[in-house]
Amino acid sequence: MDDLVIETHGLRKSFKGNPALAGLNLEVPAGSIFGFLGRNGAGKTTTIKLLMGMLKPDSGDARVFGLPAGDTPEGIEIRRRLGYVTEEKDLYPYMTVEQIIHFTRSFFPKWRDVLEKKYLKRFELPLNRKISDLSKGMRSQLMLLLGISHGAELLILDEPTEGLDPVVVEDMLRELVAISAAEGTTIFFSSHQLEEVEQIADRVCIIDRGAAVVTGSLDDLKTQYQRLRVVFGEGLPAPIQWGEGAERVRQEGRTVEILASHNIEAILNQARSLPGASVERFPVTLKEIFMEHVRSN
Amino acid sequence: MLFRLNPSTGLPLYLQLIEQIKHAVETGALKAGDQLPTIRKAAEDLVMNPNTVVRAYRELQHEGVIELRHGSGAFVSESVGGQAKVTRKAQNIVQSAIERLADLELTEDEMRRLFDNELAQHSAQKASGGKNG
Amino acid sequence: MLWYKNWLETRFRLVFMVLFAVFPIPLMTLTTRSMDSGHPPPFAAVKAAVGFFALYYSFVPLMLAGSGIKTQATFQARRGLHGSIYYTLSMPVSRLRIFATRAGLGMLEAIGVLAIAPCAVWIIFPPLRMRVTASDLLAYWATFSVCVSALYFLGVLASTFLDEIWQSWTSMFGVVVLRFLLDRLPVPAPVNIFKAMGEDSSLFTHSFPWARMAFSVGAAAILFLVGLRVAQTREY
Repeated sequence: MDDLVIETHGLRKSFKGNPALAGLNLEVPAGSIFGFLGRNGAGKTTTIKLLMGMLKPDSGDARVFGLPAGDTPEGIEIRRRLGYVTEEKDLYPYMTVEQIIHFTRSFFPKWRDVLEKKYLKRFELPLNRKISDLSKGMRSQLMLLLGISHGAELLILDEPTEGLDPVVVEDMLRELVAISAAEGTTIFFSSHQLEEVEQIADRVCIIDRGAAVVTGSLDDLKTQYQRLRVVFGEGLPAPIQWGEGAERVRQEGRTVEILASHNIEAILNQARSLPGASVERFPVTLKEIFMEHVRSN
Repeated sequence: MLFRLNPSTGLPLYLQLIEQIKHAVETGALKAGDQLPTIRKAAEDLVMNPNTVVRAYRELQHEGVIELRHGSGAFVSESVGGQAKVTRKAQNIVQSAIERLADLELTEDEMRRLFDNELAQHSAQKASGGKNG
Repeated sequence: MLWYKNWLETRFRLVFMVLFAVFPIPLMTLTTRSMDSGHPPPFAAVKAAVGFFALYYSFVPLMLAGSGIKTQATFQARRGLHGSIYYTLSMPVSRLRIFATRAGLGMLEAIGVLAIAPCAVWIIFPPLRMRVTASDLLAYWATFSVCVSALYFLGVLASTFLDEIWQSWTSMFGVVVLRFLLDRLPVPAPVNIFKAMGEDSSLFTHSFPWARMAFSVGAAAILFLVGLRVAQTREY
C-alpha cells in the first residue's frame, strides 16, 4: 500500500468516564477519498479533533503525514499541510470573505493565488460580504477554498454536506472529486449520508461505539458482501448451520435470507444442495452493510 | 459523458461503468476509434471517484475493449466493430422472449428472477462440466 | 496575522473604552468647577479623588482583556457561529501564539487608552497642575500601566474560562472587592498596587513606586504563565 496519510493505533479517549473512542485503528492511504461513517456519537468528530490536536488521546497514537498529532512543532507542521472544514462551517462572523482569505493566507507561505482566484470565481463568493451573512452552503465552499488554496495535501471534512441543499451537495461532491483528480489531494470525510459516500469514496471505515467495525475498499466490500435468498418449495428442513461467512440469517415462512460477508460460493453450494431450495443472490448496498454493523445486537 | 450510474444498487460503480461503456460500444453509440473522456473529466462529470474510473478503464483495456494510448488518452479499440451485429441479434432474441413471457402474463420482476435463476443454473452447470438440463 | 484578527475583534471595544476613559472628564470638570467658587478643595480631597480614579481606570484593561482561546460569545457572534475557535485551532500556530497575541494586543490597547488618565487628572484637578511636571504625568502613565498589568492578566486568566462579557463584569466586581480588601487588611506595602496608581503615584511622590511595580510585574508574569498553561492544556 502506498504511504498512509492518516494512521491511528489503539486510539482511546473518554470524556468524564464515558468512552468515546475504544481503541480505534485507522489507515488512510494517500490520494484516496476516504469515507468515515458512523452513527451520531460513534466517535467520528472525536477522532477528527484528535487528528487536529484539539484533543489529546488517553492512550494510543495518531499520526498525520507520519507526524504525531498535538500542540507541538510537528502538530503545527501537520496543520500547515492540511485543510479542515468543520461541521458547522464556523468561521469568524465579523470578517468578510476577503478578510478571512487575507488572514488565512498569512499562515501559508505556499499559498496558490491561481487556485484562490479559480475557486472564488467558481463558487461566486462575493469578496466584501460578511461571513455572518453567508449561507451555510457558501461557508462550506469558502472553507473548501481556504483549504485548497494553500495547497493542502489532505482535506479533513466533518460532515461536509450536512444541512446543505441537494444542488449544493452535488456541487461540493463534484469539487471534491475534481480536486482529488487534479491535485491528488487525499480527502477524509466523516458522514452519515451513505449515498454520498457510496458515490465518491474509494475506501471506507465504519466506526461504531468508538471502534472500527468495517474497513476496506468500497468496491471490495460490495463484491464480498452478498445477500442470498433461499426459498424452499416444500417445508423447511431442520435449522441449518450455515458455513463461515454467513453474518446474519433471517427466516420468514419458507424463505431464508442470508447476509454473507465472504465465502459466498461455499454458502451458495450449501444452499443449492438442500432439497427443494431455489437460490437467488443480490448485491448489497453500503446502507445494508452499515446497518448490519451498527445495530445494537 | 451520458451515462447514468447508481451508487445505491449495490453493484460496484466501476462494474457499472464498465457495463455501460461496453453497452455503448455494442449498440454503436461509441464507435471504434472514438476517444473516451479523460479520467479527470469522467470523474467530474459523473461525480465519482477518479480511482473508480481508472479501475474501469484498466479493466476495459484488459478485455481489449479500449486502448490507453500514452499521452493521448483512452480510445475505443479498432477490433470491436463486429460486436455490434451480434448485440443487435441478441437484442432481438431478448425482445421476442419478453413479448412471449408477457403474453403468459408474467410481471417484469418475475421475468427478471427467472432469467437470473436460469443464468445461475447455466453457469453452475458449465462450471461442473455437465450437459444441458 | 493573529494580530489582525485580534484587532478586528477588539477595535470597537477599544473605541468604547476611549469613550469610557474620556467620559468622566467633562462631567467631573463641571462638578469640581461648581464646587470650587473661589475656594480650592483641600489637597487631601484631590488625593482621594485620584485614588478613586485609579479604580475607574483600572477597569479599562479588564474590559480589554482576552485570551483568544475561548469560543466567542459576544455581541459579535450571531446565528450560532460560536465555534470559530475551531478554525483558529486548525491554523498552523501554537496555542502559545494564539494566547500571547491576544493577551499582548489587549495590554497594548489598554496602555494606549490609559494615556488619557494623566490628561484627565490634569484637566479635572487644577490644584494638581502646579505641583506636577510633564515628566510626572508621563511617569504616572507608566506607573499606572505597569501596576495595572497584574489586574490585566487576572482578567486574561478569567477570560480563559468565562465568556468575554461575563469576564468583564466579573473581573470588575472582583477588582472592586480586591481594592476594598487591600485597603482594609494588613498587607505588605508592595502588594497594594492601587495605592501606587492613586495616592502614592508619581503625581504626589514625584518618583516611581518601584517595589509595587516589581510586585505587579511578578504577579502579572505568574498569571500569564497560568493562563498559558490553561490555553495549552485546554481540550475542545
